[in-house]
Amino acid sequence: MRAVLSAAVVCLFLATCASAQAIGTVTLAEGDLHIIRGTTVSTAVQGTRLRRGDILESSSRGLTQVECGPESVIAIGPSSKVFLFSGSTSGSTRAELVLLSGWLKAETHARAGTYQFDTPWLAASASRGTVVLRAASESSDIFVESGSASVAEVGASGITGQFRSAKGGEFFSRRAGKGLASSNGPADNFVQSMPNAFKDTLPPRLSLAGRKDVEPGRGREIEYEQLRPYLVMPARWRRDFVSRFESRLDDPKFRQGIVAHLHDHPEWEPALHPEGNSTNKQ
Amino acid sequence: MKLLVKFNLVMCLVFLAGFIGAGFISNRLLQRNARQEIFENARIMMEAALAVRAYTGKEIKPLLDTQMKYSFLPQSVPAYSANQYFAQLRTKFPDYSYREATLNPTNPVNRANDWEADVIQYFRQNPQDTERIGQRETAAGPALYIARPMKVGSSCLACHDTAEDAPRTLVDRYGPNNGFGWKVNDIVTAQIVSAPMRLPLQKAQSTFAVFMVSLAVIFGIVFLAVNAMLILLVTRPIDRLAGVANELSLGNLNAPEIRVDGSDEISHLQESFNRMRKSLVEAIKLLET
Repeated sequence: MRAVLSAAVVCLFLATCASAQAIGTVTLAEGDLHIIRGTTVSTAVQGTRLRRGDILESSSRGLTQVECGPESVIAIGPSSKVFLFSGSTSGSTRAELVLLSGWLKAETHARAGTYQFDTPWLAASASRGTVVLRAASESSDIFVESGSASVAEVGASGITGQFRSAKGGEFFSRRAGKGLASSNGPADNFVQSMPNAFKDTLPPRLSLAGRKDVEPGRGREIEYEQLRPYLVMPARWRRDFVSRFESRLDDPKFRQGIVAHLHDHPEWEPALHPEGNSTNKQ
Repeated sequence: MKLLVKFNLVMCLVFLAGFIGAGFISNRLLQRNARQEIFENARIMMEAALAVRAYTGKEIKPLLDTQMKYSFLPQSVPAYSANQYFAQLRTKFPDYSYREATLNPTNPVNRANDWEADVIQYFRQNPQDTERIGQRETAAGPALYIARPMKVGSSCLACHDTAEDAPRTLVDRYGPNNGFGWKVNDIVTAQIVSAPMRLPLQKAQSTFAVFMVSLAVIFGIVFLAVNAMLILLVTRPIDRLAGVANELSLGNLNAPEIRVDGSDEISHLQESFNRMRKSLVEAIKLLET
């Protein structure tokens, strides 16, 4: 009976993913979970299918769980920002997620495919292991809780260096301007800051998410201040953002923000001043 | 000496002998039973500790395995659970103490002292023995103990084989030198429950005192009842008989007949006396005529 149920869940997932290019499904959403899809900010709930390009922002008390298939569970900690950079239902790498800030824990299994998790300073690739990541603007930490994974440094442009294998129990950290440091076991401050829920095995909840894709609630257009952290992240990750958010330039406040901080994201200049137009488009 | 006094003297002597004999036998029996009761309680406590250990190893430890990667949780250790269980039990049974004394423990608190190490060595040399009962001197007086050996199981080696294979958080807390190198089926630990000797003695003494006081009270009641019956049924009728006989001996032929009550030996004596009195009076009257 259990095998039939699992097979049914897998089939349901594959069908849903294939039809909507879904990377995963939100199976737990505690507190407010904001999703930036397209140029809209709305609230994601349990059952929301996630797509390539979605950005998730959890609240300060929120715990989010995303599952892509019955054998991969990804938990996002409170006050975290995650960008679903890429995803595929085929190929060796199932998805690449960027943890811009906050906490992420992923339990992956060989049948679920390989996942890559990027932070501003380190990246982890896992197909049969559990990894815990912490990201901040000036530092990144990765702990291979169990199984095995690969870890690499991330350059300023977002390109990952050479991956090195890591086994369960290894801890990696990198600070701005410094190289990769590794140790046997997580650092004390890492353990103390970690969300308590991350210290336990993540419970699979895909069967509770329901069959239907639950659309995010009604949203609003994103404002510059909220989008800014993503506009200044490494170039490789934000390469599609101009075309994606260009329509927001019609909002004077958004345009004002872009103009005021153009030095942080110079790729926006052509959009601000399209060929043949006036330089002071207001 | 009056009959009552003689009778009471004999009764007191008999009771005293019985009192002393009963006291001696009951005291020994009560002390033995009190010791047995303490050992039975100790055995139940030990079995409960083993049950707590099994529950911890089977149900709690797997739930904490992931958390153990981040911080050492003593709640995942069966020995810790057993000690915590007993600490709670001691709030109701403060006289008992429990130890899982170990020759080479992870936590130095559990290291066996001299006499505990001797007990463990005894079990190692006598693997067929599953229990040892003894008495030892302590600063607070003599104490009873009951000990059972604990063999190393395969599940123990997750934390007690080598420091390299043990959970990192455990090694971080206790160091790489303690509690490793255990082998399956080795006896490195003994479960020991101790209780002070005064415990069975106190229990026996309080029961003994109640028993002896009850015995004395019963004797007192019996004594009074027997005396009362003796007076009512024997000495008073005999006194009346003696009185009438005395009257007759002094020539008073009009002394009244003795009233006969009942049908016991005294009643027969009274009837016989009355017949004798009647015959005597008639004989005297015949002589006088």
